[in-house]
Amino acid sequence: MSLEQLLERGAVWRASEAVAEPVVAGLSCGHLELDQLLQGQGWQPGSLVEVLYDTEGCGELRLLLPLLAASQERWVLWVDPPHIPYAPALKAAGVALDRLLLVRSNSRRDRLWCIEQALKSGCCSAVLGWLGDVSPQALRRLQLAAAEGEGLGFIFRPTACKDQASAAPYRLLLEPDQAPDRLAVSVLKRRGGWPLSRRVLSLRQRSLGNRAASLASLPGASAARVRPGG
Amino acid sequence: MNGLWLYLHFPLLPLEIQCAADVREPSILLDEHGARLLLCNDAARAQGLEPGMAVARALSMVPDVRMLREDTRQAAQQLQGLALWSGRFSARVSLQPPCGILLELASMLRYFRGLDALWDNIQQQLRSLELSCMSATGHSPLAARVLALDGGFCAADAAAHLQRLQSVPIERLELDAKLRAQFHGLGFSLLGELLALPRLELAYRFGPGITAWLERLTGQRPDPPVYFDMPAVFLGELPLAYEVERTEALLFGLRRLLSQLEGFLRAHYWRALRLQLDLLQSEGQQSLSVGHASGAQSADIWLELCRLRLEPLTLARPVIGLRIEVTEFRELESGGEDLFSTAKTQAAPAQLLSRLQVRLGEQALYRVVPCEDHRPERSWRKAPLNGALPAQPDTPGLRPLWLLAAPESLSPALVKRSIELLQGPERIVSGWWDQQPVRRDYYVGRWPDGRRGWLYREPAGGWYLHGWFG
Repeated sequence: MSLEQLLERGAVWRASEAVAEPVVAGLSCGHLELDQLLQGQGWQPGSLVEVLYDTEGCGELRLLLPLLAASQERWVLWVDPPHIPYAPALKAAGVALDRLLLVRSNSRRDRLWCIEQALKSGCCSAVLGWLGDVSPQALRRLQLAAAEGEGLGFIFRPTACKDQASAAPYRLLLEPDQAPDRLAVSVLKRRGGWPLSRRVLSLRQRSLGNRAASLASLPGASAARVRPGG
Repeated sequence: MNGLWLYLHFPLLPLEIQCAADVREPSILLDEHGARLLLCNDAARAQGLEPGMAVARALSMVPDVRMLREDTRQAAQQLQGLALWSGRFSARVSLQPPCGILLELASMLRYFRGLDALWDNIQQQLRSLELSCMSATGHSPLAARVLALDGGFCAADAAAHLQRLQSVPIERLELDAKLRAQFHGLGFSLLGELLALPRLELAYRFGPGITAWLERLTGQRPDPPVYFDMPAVFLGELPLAYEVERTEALLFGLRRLLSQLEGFLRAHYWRALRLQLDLLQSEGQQSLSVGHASGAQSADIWLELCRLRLEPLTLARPVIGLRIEVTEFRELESGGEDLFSTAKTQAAPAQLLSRLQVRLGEQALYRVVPCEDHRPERSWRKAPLNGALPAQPDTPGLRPLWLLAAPESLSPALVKRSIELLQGPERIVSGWWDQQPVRRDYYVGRWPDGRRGWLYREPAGGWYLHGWFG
């Protein structure tokens, strides 16, 4: 059977003819360049974001800072971070410290349980969890919990996990870049799009999410937000 | 006055409190001499046993029947527990030993939006107690009691109750046996026939006692019950019939105690912040403390928290009883919470935090705040979950998002060869007053792969890594 025949029978699905899914506005991650890579200009609520990196210091927290700083009312949970989140620096970045909660669990089982409970409860705007090697089933449970609570879960894992199956709708691989305030990101998986190869993003270009267009049109508005790069 | 009363009769209470989890097994309660049967549960009745039977006969019919001794002290305690439980429905509760409680309902109807809603609510809560119960309303306390013993009834007005009382058989009435025999001999079988007789004639023939009783029944003579005083502290205790070796098996008894607690809390308009749960053992006990961040009343919430606490626990010895004591209370803020609106969104954070605290321990959850000290390791500290954070000073200078718990030594050769110092030095000299002096020059450095770290040099020349710009 030739390709034409298959096409006539409608047995082949052509990406070019695909009807675009209605785009739900995402939660802006605060970085202009990253937002542009994501459908709906941000993370879709109720999803798990898997962040793969090897050692601290490559920009893994700065990537999330604008989002964390935007959450003033609801809790943000940090489950078993590898070092001490340093309060003076967080305060300087505008993070609401009275809503930032640190959790120290004793075992991997407790850690997963704790992240799942927090995601499910729907009262945390973001849950950050540092996990090592966990099973795909565990990630699937966390994704289901995130979908139930409609919050965002950020799961940090070593880059060695990049070839493992993962139920997280977003998977980013981070690598440090020589220039300060820049970060190399490979999007291994994203909602509503293909994977993207490694690209260097600026962490200085802040976006205002979905209101960006209207605010940016005001004279001086963008200048106030975007510091000169360098 | 239009009174409305509810009588709850627990016919098998002394038996059922002793065989909580296994009501399907035939069980009997023996009298104090151990000779005759006082009570039988449904399973025992189904096999032909009945109260009054001799033990030997019962054993010959059902050899594997479970025999329990009557424990009057424990039964009285459980009746008080039920009175606490019913505090959620009415503030006026009266104990009717040995097996009943009486609730005043008239003043509660508006609060519970009518008798039907209240009745449904009560029946639903009764089911969760898993005790046999007969319940009836009455326009007088005695009418409620008579109707409950006759099988149950629910109505709002006096006329309907009087109507229903007519058809109660005289043999079901709690009258002197001799008197009942006399009525029987005269050919009376229903209460209605007695009520129809002229009172003076009745008093003349059978003594004034019977007319007084009938007047209390119909509500013509006031009959105020003695109300139960809600204790100011809650201490619930429940002995278990079996020795329990696994924690899951404790949940059933725990639910019973916690629903008593809920009634107690609702009656006082309190919520509990912390409970102490004692697992009583043949020698000694194991005690657990369970807390809720914002305080809770609901038995379900407390049961879940206790379950989380019990799950990882291994029992040192089999448990023979449970005891719950509330160690911290708080008033229920008016308007903050009520019986009808489920403020889920507001309760959820407190619920989540309590759940995490119970499972992981109180120390496992904290917040971080900056504080006034130039030494980096002392310019932050842990803060508890609740309450406002203290004033947060601004720290000058660039600080990393990650601080290492202990500075990591770096070899000077490595620093010289491969770490490019981008910023610094920032000299921090402090702490000479408390014997932990610090004298360091801090730099921002770039590692060969591009990561940025916060490192310092001591006057002696040693290099240390103290943080990462994550």
